[in-house]
Amino acid sequence: MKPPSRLLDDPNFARELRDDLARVVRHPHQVDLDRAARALAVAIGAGVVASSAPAAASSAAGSSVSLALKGTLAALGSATLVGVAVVTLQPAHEPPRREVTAPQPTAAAPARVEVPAPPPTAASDALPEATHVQPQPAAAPSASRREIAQLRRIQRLLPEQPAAAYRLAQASQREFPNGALREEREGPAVLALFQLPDRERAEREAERYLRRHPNSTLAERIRTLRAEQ
Amino acid sequence: MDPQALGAEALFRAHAAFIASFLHRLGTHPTEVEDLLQEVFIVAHRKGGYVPGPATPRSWLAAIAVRIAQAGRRAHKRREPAAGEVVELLKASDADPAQRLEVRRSMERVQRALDGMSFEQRAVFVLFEIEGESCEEIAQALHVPVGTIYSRLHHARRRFVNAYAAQHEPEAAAAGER
Repeated sequence: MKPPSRLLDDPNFARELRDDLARVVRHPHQVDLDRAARALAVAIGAGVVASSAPAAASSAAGSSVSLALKGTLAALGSATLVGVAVVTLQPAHEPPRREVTAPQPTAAAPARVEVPAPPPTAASDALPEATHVQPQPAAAPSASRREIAQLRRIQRLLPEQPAAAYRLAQASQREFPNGALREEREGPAVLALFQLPDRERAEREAERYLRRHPNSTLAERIRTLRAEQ
Repeated sequence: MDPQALGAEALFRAHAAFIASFLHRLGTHPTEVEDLLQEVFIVAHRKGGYVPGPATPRSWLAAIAVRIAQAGRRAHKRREPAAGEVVELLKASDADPAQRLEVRRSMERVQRALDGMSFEQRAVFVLFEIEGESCEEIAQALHVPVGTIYSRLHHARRRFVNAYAAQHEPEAAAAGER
């Protein structure tokens, strides 16, 4: 069967119709890809399992990051961490670019997201103490971006500065007790504890985590850590 | 992950702009496009990325977008973007105001003509007529026989042409009265 011509190329159709189609073809819709790229990187890096919550409904543009993330998390299902998600992000003051750069994926390293971040606090092997942070309403758009930035920092600190990672996870939980990323903080916090001296605490938190998230991406890793002695 | 696979990040870099526009053209409300855009790439990630096969990465992603957009339509009541929202989408272009208005009107006419057809017809129409995919490519990506694609396209084109013409009927009637 001979393939059909496209309408816009077919002189049998009205000129105006063909012109309209040609204009639509030449002018694709624009979307803020940087914001979508950031949310995607966090969602993949967080390696979470879908909740039973429905996908996010449409929202005002101002809170689109947090709601976009919720929609993403709801869609993940039984996602596993494959490859590496490394996305070079733009600092807020630079004009947004549509290009997103990333090196080739590798299987071994955990997911990391490079962000411009303040210098890490001094690491210590002692058990971290609570840090006072003023709670903020979780619904405010700026709070959600901050919560995401904190999660990225926790993930970055985890491999070599577990105490700082744990301290930040605790502080983030206090600041955003009902935040969108509550579940995503808990896994890395447990992993951090297993690198710190208080083994009993690590076991307790691991047990609590596994009760709440038995099928999460990090559940298997945490079970393995518990089994090691 | 298959060493030959393209991961979600690489797919995003290469095809996010296309998928975002495609979602719009499928009738996704502008405020939902960003959420659905991420869902498409999360699903791609969950599937282990794109593995070389019969479909190209772009049409493979488009097939995922079709399913997600369709599910989105069932979940949310679709409404037309307000005129202001269409203008917003064009602000990034370099066109002068007169050209922008012309483009906006073309988009509105085409969107209205697309609204009357079924979602399956719309998906095939957009992929073929606007995105320039071949019928074979569309068939491979959607896992349907190419004959089915031809049939959907045939019906979609007829609906589109009729709906497009109907938009001008009041003007044609007015012109005939003069």
